[in-house]
Amino acid sequence: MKKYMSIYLKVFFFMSILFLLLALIVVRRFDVTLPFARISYGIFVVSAFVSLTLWLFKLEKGNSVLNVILGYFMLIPGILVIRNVYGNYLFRLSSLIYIIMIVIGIIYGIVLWIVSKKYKQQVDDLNKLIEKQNKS
Amino acid sequence: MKIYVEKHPDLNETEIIIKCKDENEEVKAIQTALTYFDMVIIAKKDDKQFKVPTKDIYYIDAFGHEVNVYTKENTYQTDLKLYQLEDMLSKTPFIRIHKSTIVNTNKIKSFKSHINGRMEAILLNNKHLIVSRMYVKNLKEKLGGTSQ
Repeated sequence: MKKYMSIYLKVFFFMSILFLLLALIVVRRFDVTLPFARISYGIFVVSAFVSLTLWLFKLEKGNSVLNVILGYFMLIPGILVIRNVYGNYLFRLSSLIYIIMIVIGIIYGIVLWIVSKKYKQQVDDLNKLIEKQNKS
Repeated sequence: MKIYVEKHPDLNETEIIIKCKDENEEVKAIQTALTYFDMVIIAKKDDKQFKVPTKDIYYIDAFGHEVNVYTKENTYQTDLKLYQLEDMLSKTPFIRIHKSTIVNTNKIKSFKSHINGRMEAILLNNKHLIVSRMYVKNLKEKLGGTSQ
């Protein structure tokens, strides 16, 4: 729980900036007033989902593949909450939600690929050192 | 530095003599490193105290206030704190790989990475231990590699 809260705090900060920017875009473009309470609720809830994804990603227990897949599914409700907060102003077409889900999936995949490649290299180096140590 | 090995079949115990001009830092480091073979940790098992030779220890972990010492077949408890053990074993092949684990690098069989970047050390007894990313640099140095 302590680890989750530490992730949540950081995510909350970045989500506040993201929601503020999105609100600015909507207000400027459509000349509407957005309810402060709804945006605040959006920040709280989306931060919870994103933190859960990051927490699952970093989790040291359980099946890592399952954790990663679960992490992606945890992001989807977040998109729905953003749609709920900004409504039709941000997602004019409902199909846009699916496109965003795919885009997030691609970004998630790229991050995963980079992380696994980086640590694969480190593991290979460590295995070489262990082999060398066992030979000597 | 010159290293010689002389074989004497009549000897019962291995003798190591370090010949040097002064007892400098290098000599002290060699002496400390050699203590690995002689060093013991006092640990308990079933209310009995044992002297556990460090060379037989696979890993040490902390669970709450309890510090456990694992050998191939047995698990012992020690009153020492993990940071004290880390300090005590700093010149030996032991290294911290997680906030709650110290491992004997001589007992590591291989390393394995997972899709999410999680790293595991597989020991000779097939026990899997999590390696934290923040300790990888030190681990590499301990195994004789560069920190990059």
